[in-house]
This record gives sequence, structure tokens and C-alpha cells, in this order.
Amino acid sequence: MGDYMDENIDYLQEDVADFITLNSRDGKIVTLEEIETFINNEEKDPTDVTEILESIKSELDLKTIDDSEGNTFYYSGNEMTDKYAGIIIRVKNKDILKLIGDTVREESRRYPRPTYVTMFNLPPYNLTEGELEDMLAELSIDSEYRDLKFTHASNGTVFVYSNKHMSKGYADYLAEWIEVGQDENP
Amino acid sequence: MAVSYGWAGKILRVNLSNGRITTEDTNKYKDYIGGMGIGYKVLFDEVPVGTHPHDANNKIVFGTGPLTGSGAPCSSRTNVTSLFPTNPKHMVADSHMGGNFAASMKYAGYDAIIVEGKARGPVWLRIEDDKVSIEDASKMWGQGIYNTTALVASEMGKEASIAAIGQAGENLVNLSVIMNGYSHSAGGHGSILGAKKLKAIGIIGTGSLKIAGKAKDLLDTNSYMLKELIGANNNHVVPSTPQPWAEFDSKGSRWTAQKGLYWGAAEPPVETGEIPPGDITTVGLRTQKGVKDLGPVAEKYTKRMGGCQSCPIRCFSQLEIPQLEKFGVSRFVSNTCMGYSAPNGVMIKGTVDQFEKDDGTFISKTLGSQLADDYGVWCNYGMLGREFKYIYESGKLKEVLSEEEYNSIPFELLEAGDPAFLKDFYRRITFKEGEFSHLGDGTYWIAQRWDLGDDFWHGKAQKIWSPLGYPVHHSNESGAQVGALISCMFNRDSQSHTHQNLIQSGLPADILREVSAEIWGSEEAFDFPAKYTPMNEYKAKFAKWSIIRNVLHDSLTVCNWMWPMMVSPVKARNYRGDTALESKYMSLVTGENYTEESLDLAAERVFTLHRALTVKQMGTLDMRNEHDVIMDWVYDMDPEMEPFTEGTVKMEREDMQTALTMFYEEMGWDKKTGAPTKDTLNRLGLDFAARELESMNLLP
Ligand code: SF4
Repeated sequence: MGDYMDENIDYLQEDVADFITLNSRDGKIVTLEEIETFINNEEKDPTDVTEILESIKSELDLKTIDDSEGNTFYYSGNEMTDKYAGIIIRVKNKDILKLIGDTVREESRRYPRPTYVTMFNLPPYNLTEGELEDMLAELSIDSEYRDLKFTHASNGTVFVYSNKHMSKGYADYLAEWIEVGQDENP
Repeated sequence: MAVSYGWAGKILRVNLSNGRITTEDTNKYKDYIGGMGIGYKVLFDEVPVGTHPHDANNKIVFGTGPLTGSGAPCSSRTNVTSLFPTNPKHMVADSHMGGNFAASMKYAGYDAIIVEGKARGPVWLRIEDDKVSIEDASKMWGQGIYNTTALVASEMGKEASIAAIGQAGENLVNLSVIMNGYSHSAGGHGSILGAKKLKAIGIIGTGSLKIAGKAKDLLDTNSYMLKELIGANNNHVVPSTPQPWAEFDSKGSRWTAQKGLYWGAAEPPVETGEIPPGDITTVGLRTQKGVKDLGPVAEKYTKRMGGCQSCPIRCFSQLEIPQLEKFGVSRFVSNTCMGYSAPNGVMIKGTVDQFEKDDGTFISKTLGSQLADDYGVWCNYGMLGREFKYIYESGKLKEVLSEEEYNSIPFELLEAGDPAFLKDFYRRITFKEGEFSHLGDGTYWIAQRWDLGDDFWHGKAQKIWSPLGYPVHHSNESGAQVGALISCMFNRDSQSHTHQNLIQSGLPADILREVSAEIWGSEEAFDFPAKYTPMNEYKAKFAKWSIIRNVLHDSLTVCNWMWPMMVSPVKARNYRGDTALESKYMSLVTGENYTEESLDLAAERVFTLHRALTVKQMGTLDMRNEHDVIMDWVYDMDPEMEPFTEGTVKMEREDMQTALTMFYEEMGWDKKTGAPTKDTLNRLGLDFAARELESMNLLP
């Protein structure tokens, strides 16, 4: 009987590990409740979930991240970067304006490059076109983001950059290079 | 004969004038590794100065190297060396093709094929292991590359690797290609075969390559490279969209794999998906090159990615586009990069939608690539379209063509954005119809013929890099003086991707600067894009290293569009690559002890031999003022901006002279002239070149 239970727990650990892994790979972070629901749906015997999580922690490089309401989310560091999980949380927290501002500043500083605005329509940002339009409009009037400026390439693609980290001429050049120059020089 | 590992051991020599077919030992070329190295040595030793590329005295060398056919990733590249018809002094240059041809050469038992002389009538060369014969090609003469390939295959069987020229090569159009496998083309040397009346080479190699090391070690090395080092095409190591596994992403990355992006015409469609590094079975999904080269409309026509033997990357998109049949060409297309974009460059007024929304450019690119490939027309890395634009828009064309000829060209199609214009355009060039066809002569020759002046040569829009008549190819826009130096050193557009692959890898500049410091001694080797600093010694080292590795790859032969592995997609490696990987493969395959340093030295020998040959062919020591020259637009662009300010890739004249001096010093060449010194030639084992240059009074 004891052996049977141990085996069951092993399977459960494996299943939970897979559940978190696959969600992370798919760009999703999961709550404890979601993990419990998964276990229940799998019709597994009720078990101490935290114990299971502890047992798979190092194998998965299991990480947690909290949202502004104190909910904890789990993800596998093998599959998802902290940066990606951080963006998901900020989107959940509706911290979009600051998220865009920080992202643009970081890209202008580090790569350096201006950021194409439609990147924020893609996962994990997932803004709708309307939401993005509203955000960009807000950005351009909010004094907090006075350093963020717009430019566009000759194919019409719009970019935003921080003039704390790059001049207008530089942003213009890089936008054109990313959209047009690079393809013309394969 | 002693067992030869890596090298097949023999070189095939075919004299088309007297029909003699002989073989010789590869050993005498071993110091030059293979491929490009063999090519330069043969040209230096055997082709007299002043020979015209189309003379019987010119030779053409199809070269492979010790890694070709070994199973090392991206190792089926053929390096083609001969005099270069578009070059004003017909100096030596290389062209390259991938496909299966190089590996087949090795399996047939040859490291290189040297073709010399000139046949009396059209012939093709049939190679089945050690059975080699010169066959009658009269039925093939006049055919395009596609039909010729099919005709050779009908004689030899479908397993044959076949390289052929089209009508452009036959008609001695300077801008012509040699192509194998229907889409892998070596640009600029087609007319050499045309002049020799050699229509095609078909090879069946049933042998194998002997490898000194254990098979398991080779497989382990492959696995290491595929799991930990390789990225997507051009070794871009981050995906093009944000993805859970990736700390970095870059819109321009060729790692286009993402959720919802398919090879749409595959049956069933194949989703590229998100592909974290580590799984060697999905590397080939990373680059959806159809969409990258042709735009989103290409997705649903994409059958799969194709590429060269032994390449996990597969950078050739293969599409089925039934609509193309309306233009009288096949519905099946395969190509990559410039093969697609060059024909589109001819459509200088753009292309309107043809069959569906936003498909104009897509149709121009795929139709144009088929026409150019079948005729075997080369584009001089995009120059052909820009030259046409210049002469058309400046009114020069009207001036140099008779009224009758001018009016016979369907410019109304061009103006209306109808890609059917391309059919007329390429036909005229291929068959040398009228004055217009001289566009196929190449930049320098049309400038002479049509008296094109400074605004042609020095205008930014033309992107001409050198008075030798070749364009920008990862030049000042790629690493400032590094790219500029690299672009000055060959006798055609530089085909070095080493520096470009690092700069465009997609990693942020701080990591790239750290990597630069580790390889070249200082972060100062690496400039932020378009945020340039004055020349320094580390940039000279970067430029030298880039060229040397490019030359090494074309001698080994491996693909410089992928190699060297300077960076990696793996965070656990801190994105560091492994620049010693070539030497690891070489040691394993040949059983000899190669190090990074010993291979770099061999490549330096090959590159310096190229320089010595250039000095010999130009008949001057003064490389600085007669060879390593850059057109004015590079210095005069963006008149409102100073060099070394953010947002411009403008160069500074004096600084560029300093760059040349520093580079010459790195190479051990004469600081004043840029010609190799006797000491350097001797140090590299090129004593024979030193003696010959000395006898010609061409040693500094
Ligand atoms: S990357 Fe492309 S050109 Fe290079 S070996 Fe692979 S398929 Fe061939």
C-alpha cells in the first residue's frame, strides 16, 4: 500500500511538473489554485500541493512572482525568463503605461534601438490596437514620459525611443535601418 | 598512396583544349587548406598576368576543403576562383555556391577541379567517381540552367549533382552565374565557363570521406554545436519576437520561428513555433526565410526550407506559386536573400498587386529570381537594379540607345508596376540584344562605355564602394572602419559575413562589446551601430580577424553565412560562442593537431597570397591609392552631420587612411603602400611569391 502511494506521488509530481513546464513554455504563469484544479481534474488523490512544488523546485528551477493583489504565480525558470514573467505580471497589474516607458528606455539605452510600437500588440504585452493607440496618446502627453519620442521608417513603421539615451537623428537612422536598410543589405 | 583524412587526396585537372584529364596529389596545396587557398595558388602559379578572363589561358578552380563532406554543419560550399570579368583589370576573385555539389566532389574523390583551355564546341563534364569524360553538349547549348540541369540528370540519373550555366554565361555576359541544384549560384564566373564552352559539370560520388577521429566524437561535436552554439541563419541568436524562453529579441533577426507562423503549403502545414535552443531536431525550423525575404504573403506558399548538404539551418525558401505560370515560368521557386531582392530592385517604380493584396513585391521577387536563375544572370550584389535606375532616371538611357531601341523597351510595364517587365529586361541582357544589354557588362564597363561621370560613381543612391566597380556589402554601415576595411580588400564586393553576423546577432551592444573585448582585446573594437568612434588598433584586429575567418571558411569549406560561432543563443553560456570550433573539427577530421592559431595563420597565408596576386596583376605596389579606394559618397553623405556623430555612418577621409595604415600593420604589409613585404611573405611561407614580385620590382 505504502509503495502504491509513493508511486502515485511520483506520478503526481511528474504531472504537476509537466503542467507548469508546458504552461511556462506556452508563455503562461499559473496560480496555486490552477495547479490544484489541475490535480483535481486529473482525479488524483488530494495531496499537499506545496510539498509537491517543493519536490520539483530544483528540477524545474521553479520560481514565483506576485501580482499587486498579492496573488502568487508559478513558472519554470527553465522555460521562461524572469523578464517575461515580469511583463506578464505588469500587464496583469495594468501597469501598462509604465511598462511601455520602461521597456522603451531600456531598449534605447541597452541595445541601443528605438522600439517598434506594434511590439506591444504581441505576447506577452497583448495590447489590442485600440489599447495601444490610447497608451501611446497618453504617453505623448504625460510629463513623466517627456523623454519618449516618436519616429517612423520610410515604410511607415512607427517607433518610440527615449531621448535620454538617443538623439532624434540616431533614432531616425536606426528605425530606417531596422525596417528597410537591413533587408536591402542581406 | 598514404591514407588521407579530411582531404580526398586528389585534384582533377581537365584541359578542354586537348581533352587531357589528369589527377594530381592535393598534398602540395595542404598549406593553403583547400577551396579558396587552392584557387589562389593555382591562379598565382599558372595564369599569366594580362590574361583575359575569357581566354583559353585563364583557369577556373572549383575548390572544396577538408571539412567539406565530413558532416560538419554547413560544410558543402564550393569556392570558385578565376579571373573576374567585371573587374576593370580582370583580377582574381571568388564566387561561392552551396547545394550538394561540393560534397559530391569529395565523395567522387576530388578536393578540387581545375578547368583549363577551351573546347572547340559545347561540352559538359561527366564525373562518376574516377570515371571522367568530356561529353558533347550541343543539345544543351542555348538552354537555360533549369533545362540543362534536367538534361544532364536524364543522362546521369537524379542522384547527380549538377552545376551549369545559362544562356547568359554562354553569351559571355560578364554578369553571369554558375549554378548547381537549381538555385545555388556562384555569381560573376558564368561567362568563364561560357568562354570555355563548358555548359555543365555533373558529378556522382559514391565514395566516402575518411575521418581520422572517432565517429562518436564527431557526432558529439555536432551535437555540441547544434545544442549550444548555433542560432538561426547568419547565426542570429535571438528570436524576432518576444518569447518566454528568450531574454532578448530583435525584429530584424532571422530567427523568425514563432507561434502561428507556418510553412503554409507543406502537407500538412508545419508550424515553426517557439524553439528554445537545445533541441537539435528543430534547428531547421528557426528560419522561415520565405516570410523573411518575401513578406507575410509568402507564408501560405511556403513548402519548406531547403539548403546545402549538411546544413541544419536551411536558408533557402522553397515555394509553390501557381500564379507564376501566368508569366510562363515554373510554379516552383527556391532562393534566398539577394536572389530574391535583386530582381525586385529592377522594378524601380514598384510593383502593383497582381493576384491578391500586397503580393506585388512578392511576385516581382519570385518571378525575377526564376528568370535570372534560368538565364543565369548575376546582379553584382544588387548593382544591376541601381544602375538601371540611374540610367533610366537620369535620361542617360535615352541618350545612349537609338530611338528605335528605346521605344522597343516596354517601359509602360515598368511605369505601371507590372512585373512582366522583368521578362523583357533579363532577356535583353542574356542575349546581348542591343545597346541596353551592356547593363550586363558590370559597373566599371558601363561607366566607361556610356561615359557615366562623378554623380554616378559618387552618388549615394548607387552605393558603389570602389572604383573597381563593386558595391557596398556590409561596409561602412557594418562596424564602421571594420566593415569599410573589409570592403576594400577584395577584387569584388566583399563576401565576408564574420563582422556582420556578430553585429546583427540580435544581442544588446553591451554583450557584443564584452565579446569583442574577449576576442580582440578591447571593447573599443566594437562601435555601437551608427555611433562611431575614430579608428583604433582593436578595430584593425577585428577587421583582420573577420577577413581571416572568412578566408578560412572558404578554404575549409564551411559557410561564412553561419560561421564562426562568436556568440550563442544559450543564456547559461552567457551568450558566448566558441571560436575554436573550426580547429576542433579540423583536428577530429584530419587527425592532425590544429589550433585556432594554426588555422588562422594558414588563412592569413591564403589572404596574403590573394594580396600578392592582386599586386602582381595590377602591376603596382600602391594598393593604398590604386586599390583600397572608397567612393566619395561614403565621406560626403549626410552633409549636415559630422563623422562620428550619432545617426550617421559617414566616414572621415583622414581617419580612413589611419585605418588602412593600422590594418596594413596588423597584416605585416608595407605601411605606406599596403603591399605585402618580403619578410611577411617569407614568414607565411610564400617565398615563391616574394621571389616573383621581387623580379617584377613589386616588393616594397
Ligand atoms: S546557411 Fe544557407 S547558404 Fe549557408 S550552408 Fe546553410 S543553407 Fe547553405
